[in-house]
Amino acid sequence: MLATYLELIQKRGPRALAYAVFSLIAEKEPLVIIVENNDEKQMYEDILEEVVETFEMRKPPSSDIKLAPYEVITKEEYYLNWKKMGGKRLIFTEEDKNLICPGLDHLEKIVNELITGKSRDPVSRLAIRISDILACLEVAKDYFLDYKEGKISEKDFMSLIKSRFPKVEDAEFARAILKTLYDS
Amino acid sequence: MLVKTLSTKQIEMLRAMYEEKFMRIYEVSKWATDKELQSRLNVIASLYKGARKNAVKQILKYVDGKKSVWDIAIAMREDGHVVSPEDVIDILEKCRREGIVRVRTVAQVALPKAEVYAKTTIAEADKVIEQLKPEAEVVSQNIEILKKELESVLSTLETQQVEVVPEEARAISPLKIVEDTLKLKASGVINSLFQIDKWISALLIATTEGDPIVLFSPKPVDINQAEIAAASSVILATSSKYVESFGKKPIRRILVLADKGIMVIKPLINDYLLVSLINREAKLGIVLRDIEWISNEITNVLQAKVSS
Repeated sequence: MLATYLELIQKRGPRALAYAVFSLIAEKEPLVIIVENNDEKQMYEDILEEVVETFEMRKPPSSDIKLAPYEVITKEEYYLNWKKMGGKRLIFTEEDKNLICPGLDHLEKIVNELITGKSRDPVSRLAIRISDILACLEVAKDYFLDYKEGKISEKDFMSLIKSRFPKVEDAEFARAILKTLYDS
Repeated sequence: MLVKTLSTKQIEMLRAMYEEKFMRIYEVSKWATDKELQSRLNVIASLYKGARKNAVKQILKYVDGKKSVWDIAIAMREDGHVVSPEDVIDILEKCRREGIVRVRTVAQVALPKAEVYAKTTIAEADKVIEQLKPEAEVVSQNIEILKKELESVLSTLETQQVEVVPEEARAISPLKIVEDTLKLKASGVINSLFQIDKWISALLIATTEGDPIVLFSPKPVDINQAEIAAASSVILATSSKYVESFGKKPIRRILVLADKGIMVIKPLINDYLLVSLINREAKLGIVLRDIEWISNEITNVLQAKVSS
């Protein structure tokens, strides 16, 4: 039985949780997040709820970023009801966590740093950090669109982004999110 | 006895896990570069030989976020790839571990159904088994009723000794025959084989002692199960002996090529063997892949092993 978030990360790796959080940001459709067992289901529900609530509180009114609606289920629940999942976006946290995705690589580092760090209440800190990155995307989006239209160079774009974020990792994550959301 | 070994939940889970994997819809990572995809595909291809190696190199052409595994298997076979649906799953799961594909969703349509006739050597048991419809929705309701009917049938068999093979000569109990047949029918494994492979005209599961357990066919066939089971058991035993003398054990399969058809004998787990009767015009490569796939599935079902 898993008692702490640290144990969850130690058992599954930070990338599994990062994949669930990344999917909330990157996907538009309702998500079905599939975890290994009931312990993990409870933990994922707590963490994702904290992320969503914190983001809703901290996001600028003008922000057009919306987190995807989701439900968390166990593998057993999935297999017993898989026929009802037709057409839904499935997020298998364990099996699909290796997906090649630069945004996921950056978020994995952030999750690992916060959950395995010595800080108190790592989940709140994770939720705040992600929410702050997403809140800044509103301005960063304009830089990205300027860069896409060729008005600024990639180097200038990255310096503008980095000036908005205190940590390089956050800036890299923000860039990856922008590419995912607006680079169509 | 049956209640202890064959729970409704186990049957449902077995069928769900079996069906679900063929209905998965994968998509290629939109973040991966062509170079990354190619390099990781090469790693996966190095794990295979022959036809499947070529299938690995081509598989991403078929992964479009819309086609299910089943659809991909059909499309690849039509394009000349020698792959079973299980091969496609196997390749895609390796691609998944390498991070180049992920499961997007599952198809809303259920696995296509083919008619399956099951025949054991116990007429009374056949009647009960026939009641088990292949559709998953009715399996859970039927299993409870069938359990009661089976117990009644089997107790009648015990008292009346209504058997084709005398009890003392039978290496496997009627209960085991009925239970294994029920598990295989409920799993949907045989349905899917007959749906995708039109060349296999019958499948006989028998013991290595030569006792037939059950004959499955897509349409009613008049085949003497006891004779085929006995002959196959002798062929397998004799071949094993000679193969052992060459130091080439174990036997993977034995092909008997006749003018009007092909018989493939394949040892399964422990004391079981699978005999497949195949039409002469079959594409042998594909049929052999299908037999490999289905024998693994049958083994899983007989052991009640649930794998994703």
